[in-house]
Amino acid sequence: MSRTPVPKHPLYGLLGEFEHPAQLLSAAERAYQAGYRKMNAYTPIPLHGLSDALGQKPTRLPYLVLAGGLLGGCGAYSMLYYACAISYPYNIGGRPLNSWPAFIPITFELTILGAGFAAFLGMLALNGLPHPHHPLFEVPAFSLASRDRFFLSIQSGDPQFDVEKTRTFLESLSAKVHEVPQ
Amino acid sequence: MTPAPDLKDLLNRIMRVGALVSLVAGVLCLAGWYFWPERFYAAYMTAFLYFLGLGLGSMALAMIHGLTGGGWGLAIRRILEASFQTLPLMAVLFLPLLLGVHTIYEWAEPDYVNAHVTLARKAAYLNVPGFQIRALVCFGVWLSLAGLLSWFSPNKERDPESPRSQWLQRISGFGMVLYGLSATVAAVDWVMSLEPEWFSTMYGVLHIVGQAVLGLSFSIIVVVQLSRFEPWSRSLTHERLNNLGNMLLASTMFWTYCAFMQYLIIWLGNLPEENVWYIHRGHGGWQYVSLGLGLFHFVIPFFLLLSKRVKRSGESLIRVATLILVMRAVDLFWLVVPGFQHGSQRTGLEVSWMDPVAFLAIGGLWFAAFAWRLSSTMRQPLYDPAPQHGSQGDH
Repeated sequence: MSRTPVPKHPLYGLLGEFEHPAQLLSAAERAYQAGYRKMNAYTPIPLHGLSDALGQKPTRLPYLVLAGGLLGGCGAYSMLYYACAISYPYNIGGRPLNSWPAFIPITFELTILGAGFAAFLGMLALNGLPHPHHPLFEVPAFSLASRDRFFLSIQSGDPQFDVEKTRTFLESLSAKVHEVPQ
Repeated sequence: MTPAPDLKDLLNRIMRVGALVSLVAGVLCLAGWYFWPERFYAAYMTAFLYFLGLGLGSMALAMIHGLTGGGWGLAIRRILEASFQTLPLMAVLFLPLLLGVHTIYEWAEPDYVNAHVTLARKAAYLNVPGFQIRALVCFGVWLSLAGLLSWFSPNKERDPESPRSQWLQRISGFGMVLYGLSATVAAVDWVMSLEPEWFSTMYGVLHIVGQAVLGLSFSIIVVVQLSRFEPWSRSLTHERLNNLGNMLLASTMFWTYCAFMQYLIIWLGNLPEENVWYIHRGHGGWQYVSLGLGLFHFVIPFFLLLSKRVKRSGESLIRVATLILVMRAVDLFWLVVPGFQHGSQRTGLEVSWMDPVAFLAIGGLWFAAFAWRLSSTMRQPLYDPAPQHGSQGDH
């Protein structure tokens, strides 16, 4: 990931395993208060308030979708204008060459198309997908994240990270701690 | 669950002030009717359609909620009920239009019909007894639906399998069909026939969507105002507000779609019997109203309602909903008033003192009736959102 000469930390990070959603929520809050930022949580069900507890910022996806929509709409109108008023001007029933009412349906549709593409591709890009492998997959217990366990990972890239201190911290939150190799 | 005492005071005050305003404005309306009957009827019909639309739109939303369920509807259900329980009042307020039929409609004059071959051909439908019977049937349908929906209104049982809930669902389903048909008939008979030679198949839908937008913006404003008071403060969550805002966005877009599609089809066809309607609304000052409708009934609310921040804040959502409420009145004014300007009377855009006065006369009574009905419907449970694990929400 990093190309700096600093040797890579042998660990990707530490993974805390919790049995109850409430434990994970309070653990995420406490970890944020303790100053950890490079962390993530994994749950089998959506948990209300988890993003806030982790201090995650609202997604930038809506702006990408807006940009995609505007691009689609402007593109469509320019294309229609070019076709009907510049490239092949043709008098249709005495209407003006730039017949904006007739251009609206296609402009609208391409706005939706542009916004749809931006939403789909932007979602993949912002999530860093596709991502075929992840260090967490090396932890056998992690498969329970899609069943009945709740996980909090704190990454070694976090300035606050220290194997022993972070392990004690997670254990103090009554988590079962796993080491995650790079 | 009894309403909080200060809310009761507020509702009582609305009833008193509403009745008083209506009384004063009603006297002025009588004077207007005596001296300028045609202009009076134009103002009265605009105001009448506005408050009828509030009731009918609320009823349509209540029926949609009866079919789909969902937390958004539970939050506003009692407001919708109070709003459509004003329909009997609107039936009474329809009488002036029923009695003024010969002053209002060109097709009601035999001489005029004989001189216009199109109208002679339409006379099998467009005649005074037919008009009266259809109006009677429409109000019959609306009042029966309002009664049934109030009777089967969800009360303490929340179980969707209970016989009561199933009845509500059935009534809502059939009711939607009947409402669609009757509201179309009403729009065609009462408003479209002001320009009796003109026709548009989109016309009924245009009015129906307008009513839904009206009912929705109104109930959003009321529910946010009521969230200052005890039981309502718990039932209006940010999620529900967000859902209501999304519905407002969708219904505003649907209104725009209908209004624009009617324009586009007529503009593309460019047939003289169709395009006159837009020519009347594109000259003499009306063109600015048309532009204003596009800007303030669509562009501005649309971009504001795209933002999640606007939809999650009661205050900003109220501002957008108020803008839409005002624009609904402008839209009805734009639909109705040019229809009253025939031939040499085509004087262009002019606002009469009777326009606001008719709104006050009908609106005062309507708000008094609404406050009275609300103080009764809000005794029914409001349904707090059940405490939930996870963020499934209550869509």
